[in-house]
Amino acid sequence: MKTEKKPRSMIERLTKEHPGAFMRLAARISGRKVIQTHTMPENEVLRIDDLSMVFGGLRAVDHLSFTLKKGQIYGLIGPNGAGKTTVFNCITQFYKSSTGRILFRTPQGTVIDLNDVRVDDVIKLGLVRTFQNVELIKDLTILENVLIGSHTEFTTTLFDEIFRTRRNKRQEEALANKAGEILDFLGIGHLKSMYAMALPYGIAKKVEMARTLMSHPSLIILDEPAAGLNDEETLELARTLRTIRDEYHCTILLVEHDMGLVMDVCDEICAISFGKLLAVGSPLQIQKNPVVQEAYLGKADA
Amino acid sequence: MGKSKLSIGKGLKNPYVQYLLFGVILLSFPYLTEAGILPAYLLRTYGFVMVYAIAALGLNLLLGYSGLASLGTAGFIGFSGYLTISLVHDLSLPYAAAVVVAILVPLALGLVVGFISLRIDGMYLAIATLIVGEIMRTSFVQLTSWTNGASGRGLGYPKLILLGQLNRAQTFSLIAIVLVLMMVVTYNLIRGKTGRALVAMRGSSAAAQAMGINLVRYRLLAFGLATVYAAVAGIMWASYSTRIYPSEWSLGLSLNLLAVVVVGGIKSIWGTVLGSVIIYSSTTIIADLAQKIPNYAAIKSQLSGLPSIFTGVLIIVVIIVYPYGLIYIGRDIKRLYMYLKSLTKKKRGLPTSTDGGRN
Repeated sequence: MKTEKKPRSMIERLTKEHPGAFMRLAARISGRKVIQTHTMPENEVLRIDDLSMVFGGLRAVDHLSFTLKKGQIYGLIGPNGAGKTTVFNCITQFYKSSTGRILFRTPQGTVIDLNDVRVDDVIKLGLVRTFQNVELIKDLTILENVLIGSHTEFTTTLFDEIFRTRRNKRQEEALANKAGEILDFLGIGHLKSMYAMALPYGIAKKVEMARTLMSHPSLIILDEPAAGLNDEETLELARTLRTIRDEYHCTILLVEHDMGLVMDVCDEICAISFGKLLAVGSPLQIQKNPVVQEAYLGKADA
Repeated sequence: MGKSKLSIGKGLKNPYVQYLLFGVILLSFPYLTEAGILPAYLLRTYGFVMVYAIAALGLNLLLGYSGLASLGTAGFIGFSGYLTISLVHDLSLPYAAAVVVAILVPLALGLVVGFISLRIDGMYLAIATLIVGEIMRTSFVQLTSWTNGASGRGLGYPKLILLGQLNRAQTFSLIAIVLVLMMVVTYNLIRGKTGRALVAMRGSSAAAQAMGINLVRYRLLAFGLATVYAAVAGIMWASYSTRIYPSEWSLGLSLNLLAVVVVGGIKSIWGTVLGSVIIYSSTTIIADLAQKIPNYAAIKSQLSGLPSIFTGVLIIVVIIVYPYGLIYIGRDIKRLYMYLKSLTKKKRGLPTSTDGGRN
């Protein structure tokens, strides 16, 4: 057996104690991304490993771990303030998590810790999200909003754009066509030249969904996709989610309060409360789990 | 017959055709004034209107599209103006070479300001840029060996490589060509990836980041672009006016350019042009009118603020009545016309507005 040697230099100590922090620092100084590869089982896409997020004295996410398998529709549920959106923000690097690893399998098959990735590089790895309060750009048309989703797909330079080279025209055209197809697929193709101002919630959510589909995602993270939708639209959403998974070969992770939708569409559910894991299991298992019931409904009188 | 009319109408809708036509109209100005059809002073006025438009296009990219305020534009215009003059006269560089340097050096400075301002937003950004502008203005006043202080420095009309020495009318045409080129470049930029990214950054920085838009890069890009436009405007300004003075690059000019964008039209190329016409001509007209007031010489200093008062009032009125700028009046008239037309056409059954009055 090898005995633990005492780290000699400060750099060595840093790398040992805060591997993520040091990588980030190194990447920042050199301007190059030094991303370590990790390993996880073949069929897994995302593995949250001992994730914690602390805001001052508040532990919003508390040593949370769960795993998404390829092709799953995975639900993350919990009462208000359970830390679901915080988990999302940690995964997509809007927050840098306090501790823990977020392992993600890129479409190329390499496994990386998302903590090493800058927030605007996350989409390039095939991970894309929506927002709880639909973040659309009001000054752009629906089509242009969807095209923003393909920002990283463009290979044109500023020069191409200023002089409107053939390459630029071709890419704009191809991606606009693709955006049109996706909008048609979601049934709102006829609205594409409308401005994304004052849209009904149902349509705004679809536009946001279309935007995520532009970037060849392998994992889509949806923050309350059914909020503000009526029953009919929610049913349609369930169908759409399944179609997206099958046609675009994605894995879907969603936070949702609409239990009907979650139980209907999810293959596996993770329930959390106050940032802590309550239970992981199939919809039926979760429904019957007494701990989950207690978190939602309170303790039954004995 | 009817078909050809239709194709002309279609052609006019093409922005490039519009810009080209605009350029042709501007190029005809020198001939029209020479023929006596237009008064000669228009050549001077519109030369500066175009310079205003060039700088304001850059400011519109920054303020209108990217949502970043800047009150330092005047400093950059003056900086590149003085650079051009000193490169041509002190270092006797050819005009074209001086132009390149007078764009690149302010650009570098603009990027530095952009870097500094990465962490500040909104009002604080405006204050920071204002201070940069003031530092530059004060430097122009103090560095008398370079700027010749209050006596001003002149470049003279430019001497180009192939065309030789230009006269006043030719310089006017040069500015017109540059303006039209800048309009085309702006149009190309805003309708593509960059334009969408800038607007997205302004609309929702969270969505922009989630979609892979690097905020740092695009903020710097917006600052860089605005600086290049200001630098080009400065070069044109120095080329067109007999002398430039440190007092011209004050906060007043920056505010005027801001007024151009706000009054003319935020996020509109034609709005910027319209705003330049309105702001530049109204301030000159008011300054001229003030001279006609009896006893002008005695109260001259008290009247010098009149144009600023006018632009101030104009900004307030426009923000209340047309918050996105006067250029959108045309769009609204068109909408009203379409609405009235649809009313007379579809009188059976369903209402034409399907959005239930949401808008």
